[in-house]
Amino acid sequence: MKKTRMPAVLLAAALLFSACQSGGPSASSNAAPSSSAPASSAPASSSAAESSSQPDESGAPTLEGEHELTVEIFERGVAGQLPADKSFHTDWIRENFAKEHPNIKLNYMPVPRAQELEKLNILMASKEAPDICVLYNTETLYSYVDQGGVAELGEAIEKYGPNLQAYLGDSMEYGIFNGKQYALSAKRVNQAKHGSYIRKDWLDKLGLSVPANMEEFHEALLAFKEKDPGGLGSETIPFAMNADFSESTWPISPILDSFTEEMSDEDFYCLPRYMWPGVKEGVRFVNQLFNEGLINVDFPLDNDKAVYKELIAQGKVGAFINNTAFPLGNGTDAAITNLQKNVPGAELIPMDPFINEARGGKTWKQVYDPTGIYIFVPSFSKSVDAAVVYLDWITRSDNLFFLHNGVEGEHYEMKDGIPVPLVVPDDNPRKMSPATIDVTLTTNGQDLGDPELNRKLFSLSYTDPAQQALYEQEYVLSTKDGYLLPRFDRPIQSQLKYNSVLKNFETEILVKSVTAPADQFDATFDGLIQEYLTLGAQEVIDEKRVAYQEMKG
Amino acid sequence: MIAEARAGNKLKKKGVFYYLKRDFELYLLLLLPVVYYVVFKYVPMYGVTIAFKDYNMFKGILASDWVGLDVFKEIFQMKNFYTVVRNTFLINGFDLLLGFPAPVLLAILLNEIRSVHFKKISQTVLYLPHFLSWVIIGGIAYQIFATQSGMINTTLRQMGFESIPFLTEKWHWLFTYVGIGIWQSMGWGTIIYLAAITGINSELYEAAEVDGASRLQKIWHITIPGIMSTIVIMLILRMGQIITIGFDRPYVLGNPLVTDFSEVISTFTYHYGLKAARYSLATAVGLFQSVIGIIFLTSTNAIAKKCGETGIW
Repeated sequence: MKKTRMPAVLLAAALLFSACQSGGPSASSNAAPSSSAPASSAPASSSAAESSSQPDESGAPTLEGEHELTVEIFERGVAGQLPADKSFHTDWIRENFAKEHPNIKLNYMPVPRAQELEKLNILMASKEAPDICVLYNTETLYSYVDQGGVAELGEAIEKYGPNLQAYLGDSMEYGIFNGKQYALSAKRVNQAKHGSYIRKDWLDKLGLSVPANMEEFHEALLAFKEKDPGGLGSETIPFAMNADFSESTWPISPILDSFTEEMSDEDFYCLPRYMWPGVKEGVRFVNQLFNEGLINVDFPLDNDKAVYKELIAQGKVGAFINNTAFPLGNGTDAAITNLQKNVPGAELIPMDPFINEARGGKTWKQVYDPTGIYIFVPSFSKSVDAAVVYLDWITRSDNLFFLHNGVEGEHYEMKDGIPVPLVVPDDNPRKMSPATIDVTLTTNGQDLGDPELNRKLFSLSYTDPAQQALYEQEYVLSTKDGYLLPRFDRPIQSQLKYNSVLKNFETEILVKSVTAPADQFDATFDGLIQEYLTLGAQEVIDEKRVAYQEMKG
Repeated sequence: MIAEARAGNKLKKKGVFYYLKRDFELYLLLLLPVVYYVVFKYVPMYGVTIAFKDYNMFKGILASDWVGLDVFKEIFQMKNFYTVVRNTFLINGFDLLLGFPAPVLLAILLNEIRSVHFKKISQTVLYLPHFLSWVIIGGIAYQIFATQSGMINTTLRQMGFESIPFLTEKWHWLFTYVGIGIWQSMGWGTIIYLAAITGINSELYEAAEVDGASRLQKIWHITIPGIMSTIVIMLILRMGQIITIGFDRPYVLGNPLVTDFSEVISTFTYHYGLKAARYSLATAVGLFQSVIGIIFLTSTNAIAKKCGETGIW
C-alpha cells in the first residue's frame, strides 16, 4: 500500500497558523475555522499538506450516489451532559458535514461506554452494527478479522482518505493485520504512561533529597518507616501497592524495568515480560520491600485501586507508582486534592530514581503506543466508502481543530500558540463535552506539533495551576527513556486464546512472589513461572518465535 | 382442591377438553409461565449445538462448521480444568454442608418467636442481605476481614492478638467465603420453610401441649417432620446445582493469593470462553455442567424415594 508520510509537524504548523488567523470577534459562526481555509494560507505547509487539507479541490474524488452512514458513539452518561448523539460536537458535525456531503445521510448510534464490548458483540453477531465501529480491545478486533467480519479499507482510504493517511502517518501500521488495512488506529499524542510520586514534605522533614537512584529510594522508604515523619505509627505505608496489574504491572513497572538486562531482539519480542532476563531480580527487590514491612499488607485484596487511592488521600502513603496523572484531577475525588485537605502541608513530588545500571544508566519505562482506539467497518456494511469519507472529513486539520477547541473567544483563546480552554458555564448548551475523543475518532489528544507546546496543552486539562506545574514535571520524567512494547504484524493465535488466562495468572505470579517469605522467593517465583508456561505461555512463545523469524527474516 | 377431587372420581369418563374447558381460568394462569419456558429456555437450546461447532458469529449458529467433540477434547486436556472442577465441588460441598441447614434452623427459630413485632422486624432485617449485590458485599467484606486494615483484625491487634488472614490464606478464605454466603442467603432461604411450617396443622401442637411435650420435643416431633418433604425437595434441587456456581461471588471475593481455591468453573469459563470470545468452549463447559447436574439430581431423587420421601417426580 502506498503511504503518504507527511510530517505531522507541517500539518500542525498549518493548523496553528490557521488558529491564529481565525481569531477576533468577527469569528461569529460555527463555520469560522473552516472558512479561514487553514492549510492553503499557511506558508509552512508543503504541497503535501495542501493537498491533504483540501481533498475536495485537489484530487480526492467526491463520493457519488446516495449513502446512509451510521457511526458508533460512546454514551458516557455523565450527569448534566447532553446525550452523546445530540451534543455540541455531533450537531456541528451533522450541520457542516451535510454542507460538503449532502448525499451522505449521517446517523449516530449511542452505545453505553461501560458495556461497549458486550453491545458491540451483539450488534456484530446480529449484523446490526453501525458502519463505523470503535473498540479498544485488540483480541476482539483480531477475532472479528479472523472470522471475516471486518471490511478491508485499503482501497477506500487510497481513494477517499488523503487526510487520514497524512494525519495518521506511522499509526496507520497499527491497523494492519495479515498485511491488510482492516482498521485504523487513532493517533495517541500523549504517550506518558507511568508516573512515580513521593511525599516531599516527609522528605523535607527528614532532611532527605528526592531519591535519584535505587539506593536513595530504598533508604527513603526505610526512613519513612523508622522515623515516621507523618506521625502515623504503624499505619505508615512507605510504598503503596495494589493488585491491579491489568495494564503492564502499574504499581511496580518502572522498578522491574530498572532490573532488566541486555537481551536479544528476538527475546524482547517473544518472551513474556516476566521472563525477560533480570525481571526476577526486580520482583525480588519488591519482595524485599514487602518483607521489610514497607508495603501495605492488604494490597492483594485491592484489585480496583480504590483502597490504594484512599490511602494516598489519607496521607498514609510515602511513595507510589501509577499512571502519570494518577493523583491529579479536577473533581472532588482527586487524590492530591483530598490529601491536601486531610493533611495540610502535604506535598507530592515526581521522582524517577529507577536507573538501570546494566543498560546504560537509563531509567527505562514503558510508554503508550502512539495509538488509541481502533476504528473499523464491518464487512456487511454497505457504506465502506462513505465511512472513509466521514473519517477523512473529521480528520481534516480545520475540522479537527474545531472539534478539539470549539469557537475562539467562546470556548478557547490563543495564548503563546496554545489554545487555552475557557470556562463555559455548565448550563450552557454550547458547552463542549469533555470526552472530545469520542467524536474526533482518529485522534486521541491534540497535537500542536511541538513537544513543549503539547506538554503545556496537556497540563491545561487540570484547572489548578499547582497541578499543572506538577503534571509538566511528571510528564518530562514519564516520557524520558520510554520504550514501546513489541508488536507483531499478524495475530498470534495462541495469544488470542490464552491472553485473558495468562494476564490473570501474571497477577498471581506477582502477588504470590512479592508476598512470599524471602527464603521461599526463588521456589515460589520459579514454580509459578513453570505453571505459567504450562498454562499456555510456552505455546505463545513458540508461536511468536516462528512469527518473529517470518517477520524479520 | 375440590376440583381435583372431582377430577379424580371421573377421570376415565371425560376427555381432555372437558377439563380444559371447565378449568380454563387455571390453565390461563399457567399459560404465561409455559410460554416463558418455551421461549426463553427451550427454544435457545438449539444453541447448545455450538459446543460441537467451530462457532463463527458472522455465519451464525446454524451455518458454522461441525467439529464433533474437538472442543470437549480440548477442555479435558487442560490441566487447570480439573482444578476448577475440584474447587467448584469443594466450595459447593462446604456451602451445602454448612449453608443448607442454616435457613432450616433459622426458620424454626423464627417460628418460635412469640412477639409478632420482633418476628417481623427480624425477618425484614434477615432478608436484606439477599438484595445486596456481591460487589457491595465484597467491599463490606474487605472492610471487616482485611488483614491489616479490617475491623476485626484491628481490634484483635489492639487486644494483643495476631491478625487472622481471613481473606489471604486459602483455608481461612474458604470458611470466610462460606460464612459470607450463609449470611447473605440464610434469611431469604427461610421463606419457603416458614411457609411449610404454616401449613402444619395446629391441632398437632395443641395435642402435644395437652400431652405435656416441651418446646424442643414439639420442634423435634412435629415441626421437623412437618417440613421434611420440603427440606428433601430443596436438597434434591440443591444437589442438581452442585457443579453450578455463580460468577459474582467467587470473582468478587477471590483474590490472587487464594486462587488455589477461588478459581472455579464460572471464572474459568469467563477467562477461557467469554474474554477470548470462544463461545463454543464456554457452551461446552456449560453443557458439561448440565450433564453432571442432571446426574446428581436424578441420583439424589432416587435415593430420596428409596428412603420413603416423595422426591420431585
